[in-house]
Amino acid sequence: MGLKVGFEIHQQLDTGRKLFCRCPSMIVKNKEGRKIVRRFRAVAGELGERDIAAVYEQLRGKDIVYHVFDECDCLIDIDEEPPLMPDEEALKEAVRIALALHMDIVDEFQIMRKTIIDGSVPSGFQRTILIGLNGYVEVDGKRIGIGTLCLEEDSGRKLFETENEIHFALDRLGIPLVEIRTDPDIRTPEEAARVAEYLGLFLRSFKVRRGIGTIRQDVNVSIKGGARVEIKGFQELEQLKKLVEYEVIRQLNLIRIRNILASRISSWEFAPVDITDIIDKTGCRFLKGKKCLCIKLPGYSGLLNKEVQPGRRLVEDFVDIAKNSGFKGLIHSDELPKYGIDSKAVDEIKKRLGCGEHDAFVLIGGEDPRKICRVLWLISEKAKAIYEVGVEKEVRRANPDGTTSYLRPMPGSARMYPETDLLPIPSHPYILAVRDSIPTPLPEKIRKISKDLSIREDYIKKIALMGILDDFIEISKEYRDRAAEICNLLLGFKSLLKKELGEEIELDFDVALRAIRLYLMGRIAKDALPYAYKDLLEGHSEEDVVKKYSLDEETLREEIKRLLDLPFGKIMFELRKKYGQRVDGRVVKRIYDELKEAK
Amino acid sequence: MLEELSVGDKIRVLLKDGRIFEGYYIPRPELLERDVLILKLDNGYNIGIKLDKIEKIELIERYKKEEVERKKEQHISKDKEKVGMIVVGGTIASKVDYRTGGVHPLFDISEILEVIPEIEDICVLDIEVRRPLKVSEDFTPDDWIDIAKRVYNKAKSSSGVLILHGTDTMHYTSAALSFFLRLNVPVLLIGSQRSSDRGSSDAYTNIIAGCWAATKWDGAEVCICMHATTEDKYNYILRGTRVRKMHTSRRDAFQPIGIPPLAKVYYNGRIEVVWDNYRRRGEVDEEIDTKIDKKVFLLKFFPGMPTEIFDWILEMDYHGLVIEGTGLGHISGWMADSVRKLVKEGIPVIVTSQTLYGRTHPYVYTNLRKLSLYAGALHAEDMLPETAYVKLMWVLGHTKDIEEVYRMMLTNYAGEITERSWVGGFIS
Repeated sequence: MGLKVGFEIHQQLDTGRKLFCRCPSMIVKNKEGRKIVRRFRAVAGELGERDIAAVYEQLRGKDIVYHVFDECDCLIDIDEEPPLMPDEEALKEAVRIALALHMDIVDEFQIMRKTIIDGSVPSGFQRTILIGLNGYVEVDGKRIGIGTLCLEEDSGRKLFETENEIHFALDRLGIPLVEIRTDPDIRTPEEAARVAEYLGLFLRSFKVRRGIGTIRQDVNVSIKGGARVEIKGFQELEQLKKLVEYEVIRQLNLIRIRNILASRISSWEFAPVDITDIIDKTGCRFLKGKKCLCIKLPGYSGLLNKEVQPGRRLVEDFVDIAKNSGFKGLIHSDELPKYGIDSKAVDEIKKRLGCGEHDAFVLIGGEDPRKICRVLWLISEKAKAIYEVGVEKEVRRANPDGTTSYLRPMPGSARMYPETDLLPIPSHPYILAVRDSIPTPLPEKIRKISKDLSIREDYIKKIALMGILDDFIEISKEYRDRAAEICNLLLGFKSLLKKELGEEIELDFDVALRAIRLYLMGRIAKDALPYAYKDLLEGHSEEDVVKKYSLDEETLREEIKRLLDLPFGKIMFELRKKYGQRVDGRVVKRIYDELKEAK
Repeated sequence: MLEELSVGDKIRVLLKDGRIFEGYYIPRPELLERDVLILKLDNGYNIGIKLDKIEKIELIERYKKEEVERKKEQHISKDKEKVGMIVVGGTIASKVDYRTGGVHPLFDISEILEVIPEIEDICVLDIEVRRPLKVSEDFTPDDWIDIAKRVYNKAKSSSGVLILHGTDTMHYTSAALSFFLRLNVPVLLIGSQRSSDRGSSDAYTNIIAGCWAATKWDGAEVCICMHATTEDKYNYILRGTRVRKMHTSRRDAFQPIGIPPLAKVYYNGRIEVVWDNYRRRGEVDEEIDTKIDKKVFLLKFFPGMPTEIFDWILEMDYHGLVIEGTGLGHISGWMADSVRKLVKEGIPVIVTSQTLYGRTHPYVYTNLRKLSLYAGALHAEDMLPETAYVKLMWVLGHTKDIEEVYRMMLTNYAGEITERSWVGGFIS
C-alpha cells in the first residue's frame, strides 16, 4: 500500500519573551483586552492560487477583531512597528534542540515571511527561520529522519467567530516555537503513535512551555497512488492511529472514485448557471427569494453519497467548502427530489445544465451571485481535482470520530519570501554557545533512570511527564533504597490528596516534594502527608507543619505502654483521637510489637 | 562563481564535506558581506551557506520569468468620475519581489487595479507615473514644483487628484502644494506605512479612501488622506499645512496639529465632515504659483547650540531662516545680537516652536522681546516649523523686502495659521 506518515510538531519555547519583540510570553485569561478592528486582503497577483482564494473567501467581508493585552502585546504585535532581531535565548534553544536531533545547522539563518491570510497574524505573515536540516531520532531502534527544524513566531489565538467578525487574542502571537518536521519514514499507524509520543517526550528535555496549546501536531499521510495530506488539530495520541487508518481508507476510496470518473468523462468545464426561476416555482422554502446558481459535476451522478470514510460521504468535502465560505450548505442532485424540489424541477435543471446520464449537479442559494460563483468555482476545482488526480495534496481538519473535514489545498512554497526588515544571522556563535550543553534526551534519560533505580520505565515516564524527573532523581539519590516508595508517593499523590482531604486541591509538585522530604526525614508521619501538603500550600512554615504533625517517639512509647492491654485497633483509635494525624500507624505498630515482645 | 548567476537560477551546491544542496540562487541584500551564498530551497526557506565551505556550484537551469498576462486597461465606464493619480514614489508605489525580498517600484497601473478591484466601482483612474520614483527623504523643493505642475494639469480634467507619495516628508510636500496651488478640486496625498506585500497593508484602504475623497468630498484643498487610527475603519482628510508625521511607524502617524481633521472617509464611501471650515470646490479661479527661493534654512535650537551657526548661515548666503525655538519661541538670550545681524543684512528670521502645539509669543519673557523687538525676528503665530520653512521659500520667491516678507508670513494663505486657538486642539 506504500503508507508514508510524517509529522509536523509545533512546540512553544519557554525562553521568557516573544521572538521578535520584548514582550513577555504569557497567556492572558479572563481579561478584556483592547480591541482593534482590521481588514485583510489577498495580496499580490502572484499568489492568486486556489489555497489563497479558499482562505480569502472565508475572510471576505469579515472584520478581524484583535484582542490586545498591554502586559504582553506591543506595536510590533499589531503590525505597527518593524520587528526587532530575534531573541537570542530562543535562537540558542532552537539550535540546542536541532543539535540534539543530529541536524546540520545552516551557516547563516535567513528570516523569512510565510504568508498567512486567515487573519491570525496581524501582519499577514508569520516570521520563520530554518535552523537545521537532515537530522534523525531513533525510536525503538529505527531511525526516523528529521527533515527540518524551524524557529517561528506563534500566531494569534482564535477566540470565536460571528457572522461578520473573527476574533483573535494576541497574547499568544509572537511566542517562539520550534516547528519540527519528520521525514515520511513512518510506515504503520502504530509506529506513528510511538514516534509522536517519543518526540513529545524528547522535547520535554528542553526549555519548552507546558500545558494546553503549547504543543500542536499535524500529521502527514500518503499512500501509493494517493498524495500527501496534512491533518491538523488532533489532540490525543490515542486518536492518531485511527486518523491514519481512516485517511488510508479515504485515499483508497478516492482512487476508486477517480477510476469511475475517468471511465465516465474526458473533460471538465466550469459554467455556473442561474436557476433562480426554476427554484422559485418549487416549494423549497429555505431558497425562497434567494439567488440560486448551479454547476454541473460531470460524471458524479450516484457518487456524491458514497462513503469515503466510515460515516463520511464524498459530498461532505464540497459542503465544507460552502460552509468555510460562510454558506449554510449546498443541495446536490444525488439527494433530490427533496426539500420541495420535485423531479420535474430536477429534470429542468439538468436540462439547462446539459447534464448527461452520469452527471450530477450542486446548487447554492444566497444573496450575492458573485460570492456564490466564487464558491461554486472552489467546489468545481475540488471536484475536478478528484477527477484528475483522485487524492489531492491538501490540508484537512481532524474530527473527533477519526474522520477529517476539508480545509484547503496545500499551500505552495511561493508563500515564503525574505523578511526585509531584518538581517541574516551567522549561526556559528550560537552553535558555540550551546554545543556543550545539549541535554540527554528525555527518552534515553528515562531508560537509564529506570535501570539504575530498578523502577518500571512507564512509572519513570509518568514522573517525567509531570515535569519533576530531575527533582525525583535528586531526592532518590539521597534516599536511594527508598526510590520506589518515593516514586509511588509521587504517582499517587493526587489521588491521595483527594482521598484524604476529600476535596479538589491544587497539585503543586514543588510543595508535594517538600512534604515528602519532611516525611523521608522522619519529621512527620506518613499519614500526615496530605495535611502537611495542604498547610504548606497555604503558606505555613515547615517548622509549624512539623510541630503540628509529629510526635516524638518517647511520648508515643509512653502512650502505647499505658494502653498496651487494649487490642491494637483500639490503641490506634485512642491515639488518633488524642493526637490526630501526628501518629503514624506503621510506627505505632512497630512500637506496639516491640513492647508486646518485651512483655 | 557567483558572478555568472542571476536571481532565480536553479543550482546545485556541492560542499567540501560532501553534502549537496539544491535550490534557487538569491542575491545577497545590499551592504552585507559577500561571504555567504543564499539558496532558496524547494520548501520555500532560504538558507545561507558560507562560501568557503563550497567546493563547486553547478547550474541546473536558468530562471525563466513567467509572463503574467495582465489586463492592460481599466474598464472604462462612462458614469464614473475621473480621478487623476500621480505616482511619485514611496512605500505605496513599491512592491516586494517575492523571490528575493527586494523592494521594487510598482510600474504597472494594472497591478494596483488587480489588487484593488473596488476602484472600478468608485472612479476611473487617470494614472501618471513620475520617474524616477523617489523615496520621500530624497525629495527636494524642485520635486514639489514639478509635482505641482503635474497636479495642475491633471486637475483640469479630474474630479480630484491623488498623489502616491512616501510618508517621511509628505507634510512638506503637502504644505508646498498648499501654497503653490489654488484649485477647484481636492488634491490628496496618500502613502502607506506598511508595504503592500502583506495582507494588512494600509496601502489598499488608503487608496480606496483617496478615491472616495477625490470624487465625493466637497472640499478643494491640498490634504493628506491617511489612516485615522490603528484600525481599518476610516481615514482622515487633513489640511496640508497643519499636519505632521507624528510616529515613525504607525499607520495613523499623520495627525492634525491644533485643528480637527476636516473629514473622515469610510471605506464604503461615506464621508463625514468633522470641521466645516475648508475651501469648497468651484470657489476660486484656478491658479498655480511655484515661484520660490530655495535658500532658506530651518534651524532647530538646542541648549548649547553654538552662536556661530548664525554667522555660518550668513556666510552660506541663505536668504531666510526659520528657527524652531523652545516654548513660546525662545533661543538663548545671548544669541540676540547674532540674529539682529542677520536681520540687518536683510535676512528674514521666522520663529516657530518645537512644542508644535500652541502659539508662539513675542513679548511674554525678556528673551522673547530681545528676539522680536531688539533682533527683529518674527514670531510666526502657531505655524508649524516645516510649514513655515516651506512658506518662507514661497514668500521669498515673491519678495525680498523684509517687511513685505513678514507681512506675507503672517497672512493666512492656506489655513497654515489658526485665527483662534481651539480648546480641543491638543493631544487628548
